[in-house]
Amino acid sequence: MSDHAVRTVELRRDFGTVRALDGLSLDVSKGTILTLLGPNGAGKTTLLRILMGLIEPTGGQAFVLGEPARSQPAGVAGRVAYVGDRCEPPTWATPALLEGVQAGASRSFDKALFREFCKRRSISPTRPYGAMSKGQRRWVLTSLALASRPELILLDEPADGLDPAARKALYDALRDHVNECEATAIVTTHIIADVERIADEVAIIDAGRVILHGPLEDLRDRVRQVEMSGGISSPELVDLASVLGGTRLGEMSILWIRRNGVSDEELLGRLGPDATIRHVGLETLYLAIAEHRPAALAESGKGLE
Amino acid sequence: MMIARWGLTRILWRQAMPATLAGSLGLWVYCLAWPDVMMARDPWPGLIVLLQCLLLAALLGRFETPSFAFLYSRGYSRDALWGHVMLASALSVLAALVPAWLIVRTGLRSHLHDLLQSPYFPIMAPREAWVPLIWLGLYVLLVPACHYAWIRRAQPTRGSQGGSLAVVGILVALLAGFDLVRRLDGWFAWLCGLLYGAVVVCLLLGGRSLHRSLEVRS
Repeated sequence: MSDHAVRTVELRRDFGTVRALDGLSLDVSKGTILTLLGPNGAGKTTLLRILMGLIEPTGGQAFVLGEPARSQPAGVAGRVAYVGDRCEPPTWATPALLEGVQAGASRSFDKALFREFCKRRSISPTRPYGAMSKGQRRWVLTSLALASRPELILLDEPADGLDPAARKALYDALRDHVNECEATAIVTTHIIADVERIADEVAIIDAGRVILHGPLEDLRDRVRQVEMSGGISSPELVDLASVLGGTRLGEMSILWIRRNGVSDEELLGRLGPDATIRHVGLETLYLAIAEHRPAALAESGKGLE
Repeated sequence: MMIARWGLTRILWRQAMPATLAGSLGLWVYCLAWPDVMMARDPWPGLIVLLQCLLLAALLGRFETPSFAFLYSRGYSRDALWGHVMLASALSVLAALVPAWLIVRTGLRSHLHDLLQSPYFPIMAPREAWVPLIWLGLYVLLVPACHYAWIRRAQPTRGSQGGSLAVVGILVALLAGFDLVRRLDGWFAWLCGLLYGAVVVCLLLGGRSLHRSLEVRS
């Protein structure tokens, strides 16, 4: 029995001449919340849609709960929940009807929990979906997913349109669900604060590839910003760290690195007394990778893990 | 064995409503207003049935809309979804056909045209009582055929023209054969009936098979 709720191997997906996923490999352990970060068009939504069985990969393999993620095989149906952009019920559908639709699909659907979720945001069971605000719609869809008690929940920007209180409530409910049911969640978001609030693991995707993946604590602990006047040559860092990105600011060279099991002191010893090493937050790290990813790595398509 | 789910059926039924209205109004008006004795080869009911079947395939096959992405991401297996699409289609057909059949069978049509002083009624009423069965036969053939052609067309990663043309060819051959088969007798008529049933079953199974790998892009 696999310990991975999701496993993708060299996953590719083309839309005409556009390559949305380009050899994406990712393992997601059971019982974790993985947040996917990446710029628009990085391939996050495409990945979730493949995992949900809505579209097929052009190449490579994807496994969901141990089964190939092709068009929702019977063994997976009802055990995976998805909330995505452009994936909404008809405007005339009411929460009461949606409850019936979802209850038919998942045996574990908890009607009382769904009603409780709706009640929390004062959403009437008879209110048409089209008459709800954007935040209420998101809330209803995410509530449907959570009340299904799925083993795997895929949330594509679930907090889009939610006010801060609703966002907190949503992520608290997600965390409760993951803890209670030993479920797995993959969440895409552009809000770094949300990542820091909920993530066990973080994966950064760009141009259809995973360029960084690891536990949030590990990233916080091992990623550093190295500043040095003049240049920093890569050989100085070989075996000590992986270079995630770099830029120059006037005479100053800045590198973002992930330490390979060495201390800051050892790094400083190799780089010399002119170097400064700083801790970086997730937002700085994300921006560094998105904007200053080494060109050679980007072209070769190799991950930085 | 598929278990019918009320919520899913209701959503699909509502999606198919324009097709149901078009078919229902067309057949009912035809039954009430057609002044001559209804014949199996009359073109108008055939056209109405074809229109309703095409609309059903198009309305229940909008795989690029958010509402279908929603339905297809609820956790139903593809076969369950296909079964419910067929169920919604069958309900739409029944909603059009049963009242039309009742208009004929209960004598309402005959009585109405008798009042309008048609020379054919009520004398000819028994001769047209079986005509709605021909429409049912058309529906049974055209619903799976249209769904199959539509799903085949919606496959983005496969060649689709061949399948659609094959469906058109099968339909033309079978429809042209209707008239011939009616005049046949004995074992050959039964053989043709079996062939008709086999084509319908193949279209249903073929549609279900294609539906399993269908992409839902919204």
